[in-house]
Amino acid sequence: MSTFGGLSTAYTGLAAARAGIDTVGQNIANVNTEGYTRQRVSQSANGSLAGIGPLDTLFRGGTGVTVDQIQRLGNALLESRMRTSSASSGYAEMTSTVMDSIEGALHEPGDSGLAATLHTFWASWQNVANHAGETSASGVLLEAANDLAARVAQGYSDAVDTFNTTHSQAQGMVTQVNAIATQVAALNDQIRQATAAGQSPNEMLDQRARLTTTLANLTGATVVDRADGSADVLVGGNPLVTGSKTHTLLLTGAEQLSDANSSPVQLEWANRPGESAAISGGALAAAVAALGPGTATSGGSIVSAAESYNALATQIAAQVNAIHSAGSTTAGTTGLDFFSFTAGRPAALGLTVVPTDASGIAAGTPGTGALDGSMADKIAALGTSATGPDASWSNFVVRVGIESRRASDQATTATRAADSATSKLMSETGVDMDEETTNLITYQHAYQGAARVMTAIDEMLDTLINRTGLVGR
Amino acid sequence: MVARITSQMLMHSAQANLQLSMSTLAKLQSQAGTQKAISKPSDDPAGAGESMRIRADQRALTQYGTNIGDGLAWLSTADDALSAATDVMHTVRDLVVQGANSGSLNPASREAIATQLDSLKSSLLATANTKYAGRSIFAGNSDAGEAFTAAYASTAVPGSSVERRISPTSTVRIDVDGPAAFGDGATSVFALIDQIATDLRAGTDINTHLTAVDGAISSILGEQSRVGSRYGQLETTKELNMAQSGSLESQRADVEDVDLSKVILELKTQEVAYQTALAVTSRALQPTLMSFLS
Repeated sequence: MSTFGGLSTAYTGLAAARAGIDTVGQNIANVNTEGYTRQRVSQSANGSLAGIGPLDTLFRGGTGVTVDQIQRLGNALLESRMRTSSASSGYAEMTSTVMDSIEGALHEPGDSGLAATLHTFWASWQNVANHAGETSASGVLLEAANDLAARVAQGYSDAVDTFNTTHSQAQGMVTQVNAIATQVAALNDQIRQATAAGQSPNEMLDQRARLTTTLANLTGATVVDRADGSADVLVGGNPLVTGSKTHTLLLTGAEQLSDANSSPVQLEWANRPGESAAISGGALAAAVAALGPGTATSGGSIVSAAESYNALATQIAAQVNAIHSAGSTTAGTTGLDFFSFTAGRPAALGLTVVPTDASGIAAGTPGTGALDGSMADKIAALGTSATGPDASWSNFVVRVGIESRRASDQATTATRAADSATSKLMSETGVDMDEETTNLITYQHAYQGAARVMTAIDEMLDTLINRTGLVGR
Repeated sequence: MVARITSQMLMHSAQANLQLSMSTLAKLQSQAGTQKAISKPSDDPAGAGESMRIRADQRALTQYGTNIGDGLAWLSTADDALSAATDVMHTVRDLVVQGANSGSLNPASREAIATQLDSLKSSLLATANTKYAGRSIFAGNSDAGEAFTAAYASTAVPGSSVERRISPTSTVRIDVDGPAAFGDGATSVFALIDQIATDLRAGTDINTHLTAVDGAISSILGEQSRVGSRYGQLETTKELNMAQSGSLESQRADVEDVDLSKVILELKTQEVAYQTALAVTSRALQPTLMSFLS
């Protein structure tokens, strides 16, 4: 070892300690940064220099320490688990939000729901049965009938609102997914370059992990890491990001509820038009499923709710008209309809009341006297019929209740799972202040120690240079 | 088993726990505030269906109550009218008996009785045309304005009756069959009284009409007894409905309303839990090694 070798060794110690303190500083600075993964200095001891020739018998110790890299203490397994749980919680929460909105529009059970309007409607028929041909009872009935029609239309409009809100949300999510995909692709490029150049890509890796988690939450995306440091993002099995290239997702199909059955809402890849992208996880998949085509009993929840209102309107009109048209008015007219539909509109929106006053209400059985109310009584009995509109409405409400309950239970479970995955990841990759403080002290002492070594060598050399050869002066 | 505890993770789980605790607290508070266990169908889908069924029954029961009240008014009006008619007919019978003593009556007395009979007939006709709320109670579903014309013809439509629904399965007749009570046209009680007056004026023996008068009285009484029995039926149903209304209300409360003492107890417990969570969190998140190093 050369005379000054010790100084250089002490210097590597100083440099390593300073790198350690800098890293601790970075960790502490980012203690509350979302998605930050803790870093650690990875260092290794330098070996001794090789001897030169057989006569070289000098003692050779190690030559200090090298800072190999600033390590990012991530955990690929936990990150992937977090993405998976985030995808299912995204799906469940979106489904639950949509169901909540459909359910909220029901206002059941209570005095302001459609059921209460139906009850009033049937009771008004009973009153007409009691007071056939009287202006007051007929007026109350017509008011109740118009109220019922308005209430059914309101229910349908609420479904339309939910559709529009969900559609614009889905559109927003697609835009967000495409924007994030571009960012991930750009990061892939930068990370590859930084890795190739031997620089630390840690912060960019954190950023990319955060973005891919958002992508997973939105689309159920999975991530495949490549050897060069880039990561491919797959959505529904197809690549969204490959290296620095991206593919664009599009939301196509109906933009209005009325078209939802004829041209279903779906996600497509821009380069493969007309073909569904078939994504099965994440909030976007839930939104598209909710917007999907449906009937009164199955399919996309929003369209299904709207179709239920249509079916209810049709049923009310058909059952009331069947009895009403067999009845006769006070003037003896028969064959009159009570409800009609505006052509070209959905049944729920087009339901209108035909009579405008008592003369148009056929409350009696023909041939039993002008003031007979037996037909009105029969119509009123629809309210308690097991196949009447009330029963259909109640079935619908219970079905929505069950679905909403299931969705919210699933959302709770999925959120817990996501929370637990986040917790695990944070436990593994988060910054612990105590640990950082300990490291800080350790590095501080290391620095002080290295400096002391330097002082010792300095003193040693001082003695050697300035004090030797003075014997006997 | 969590190997490593970090401050971020502590913060995250503390936040999640507080959120969970708070949402339970909010739900309980809303239950205590609204007194409703089911505020939306998903709270209890089966209960929501049950609650809607009970509410439908309640509304129907209220309507049956209205129907019964209306029916009772019709029937009591009919009862009053029939009582009045019976009184009139008893007077007629007395006059017939009086007029039948042909030997002791001079033409002036006969004329006096006949005139009295005429006015009794008019009063009987007026009674037979009694109305309740604009409807002739002896005219069924007819809209003719009066139950018996000046020619004594009944305007009621044969075979039709005014009914009130008192339960999902049964209706009760609340009008009175006019022709059954008073007869119709030439065979009506009015024509009979006219005939008696005519015979009296002509000096014919009117004793023969006594049977017919008795027959008319018994038809009126017969109708009145039917009215009485239907009135009784309505009264019974009304009481039944009242009892049922109480039981429906308690069913509804069972399904929809919260058990207040239970909710308040849970609310208090949850409040304590929440406050504890807050206190523990504030302590757990504060100290780091920093606080102990100088």
